[in-house]
Amino acid sequence: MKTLIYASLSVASLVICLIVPFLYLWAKIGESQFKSIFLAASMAWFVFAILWNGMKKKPSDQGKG
Amino acid sequence: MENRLSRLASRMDQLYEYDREPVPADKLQSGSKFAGLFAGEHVAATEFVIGAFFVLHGVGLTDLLVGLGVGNLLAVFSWTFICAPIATRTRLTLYWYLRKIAGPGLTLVYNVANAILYCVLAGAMISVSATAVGIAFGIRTPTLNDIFPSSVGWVLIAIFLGVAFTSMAILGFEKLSEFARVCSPWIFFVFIAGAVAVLPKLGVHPRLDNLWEIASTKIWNGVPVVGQEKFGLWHVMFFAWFCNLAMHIGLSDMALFRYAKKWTYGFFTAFGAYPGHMLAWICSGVMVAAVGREMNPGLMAFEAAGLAGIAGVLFAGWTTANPTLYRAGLALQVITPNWPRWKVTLLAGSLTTVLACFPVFFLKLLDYVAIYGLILMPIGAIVFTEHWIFPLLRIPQFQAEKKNLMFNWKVLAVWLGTLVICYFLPIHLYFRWLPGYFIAIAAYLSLHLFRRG
Repeated sequence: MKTLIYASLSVASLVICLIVPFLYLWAKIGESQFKSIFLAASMAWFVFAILWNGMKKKPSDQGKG
Repeated sequence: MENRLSRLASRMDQLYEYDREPVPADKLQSGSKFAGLFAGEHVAATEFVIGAFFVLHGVGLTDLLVGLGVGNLLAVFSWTFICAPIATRTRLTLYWYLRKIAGPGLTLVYNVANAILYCVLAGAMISVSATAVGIAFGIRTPTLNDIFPSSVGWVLIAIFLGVAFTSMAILGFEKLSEFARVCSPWIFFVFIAGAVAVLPKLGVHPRLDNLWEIASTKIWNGVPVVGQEKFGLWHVMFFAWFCNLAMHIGLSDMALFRYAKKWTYGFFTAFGAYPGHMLAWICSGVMVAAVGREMNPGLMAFEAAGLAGIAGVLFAGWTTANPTLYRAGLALQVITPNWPRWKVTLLAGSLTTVLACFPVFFLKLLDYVAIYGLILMPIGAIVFTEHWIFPLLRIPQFQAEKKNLMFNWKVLAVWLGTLVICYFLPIHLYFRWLPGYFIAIAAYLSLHLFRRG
């Protein structure tokens, strides 16, 4: 269940990162709002994605190196 | 000398011991793993520089789109039809396959050359990150023609980042690799967000009805900045094709494709070539146009996306310099007797840090990428010839292994000879590798046919 929550929040953070520049382009929000929301969504991505990654079984390295 | 070389080769074998045997069937990976791997690997700090340089070199919009579309397709085909089939047939890394062909001594030389080239690349990545940190301290970023450090501040930042990246690579390579996996999708979004967010500054209407006009007049307008060579369709196409030359034509990615179930998994490289290279380069081109065509990745990202943009450039440099330092350290370990991994990484990191102080490596990144691929390309041609053409002509394969040769002089002669010929070819640096590839194949075949005749 926790995995699902973290995964959903991670994806939601990335979706916000994608949408917010378009909102700025379409003049729905100002530049400072865009940068603040983008920063907040980015921080949220790192928090939830790291938690999500921690919940998942560690994947193999696929022979890198 | 022979004994010392033999000892070095033996140590190198121990390093790659895990890879000695062909990959067993139960270790093969799914296609989705390959798609994810390539999508993540090809969004690096250097993309901020490459796409911006196309703008500075006065590439026109149509030339850019056609060049990137076709060039990336050729790169995908090179992975699919040249690298992946050899990897899936042998299930070996290039290291072990080359050892059979060139002998352990020459494979060692190849490894050390690769390590030095990796250090230069990691140095360029640190330099790109340094432009981001420099913004915070108001330090002047080197200008396009700078070779040496532009200020004491630049040197201090490069050293600080070099020490930080190296320390973290020593302390926790595995943890950093996990962090890189988290970073890569977000960095891709930084590129997109940055490009979209600067469109209003460039005069693009919210309805995007003048996007093509702005793109062709204010971004890729066909006019190079002063002092930069004019690039056209062929430059872009060849660059997109050869920017990973060492990996596909040069066969380094055999290390990955030996885990593929089928050679057709090579097509998954399109996930790196198109969303990664093509889209990221277009986005960085848009961003550099918005800062008055100033080659400063940190400034570009800050103006476009604020503090998150700065973090994007910094993390892109950090997460991509980390595996590069690791690979350089692994390759250098052969010439550092009995050194533990941390000490070798420290050596690679120190060399990389010194190189990062010199802005020439990131300001001439396009030329460096061309030279990097060119240097390693003949080895790919030799392996291709030995693998596919020798059996057709009934020329015995793997003579170095069968005769227990430390150095296969024919491989060395073709490698160096091809590079000398390429140096004198009267064509642009970007185009030299292609005739060079066929020259290497012809020369290697001729040496064997002549001996046989």
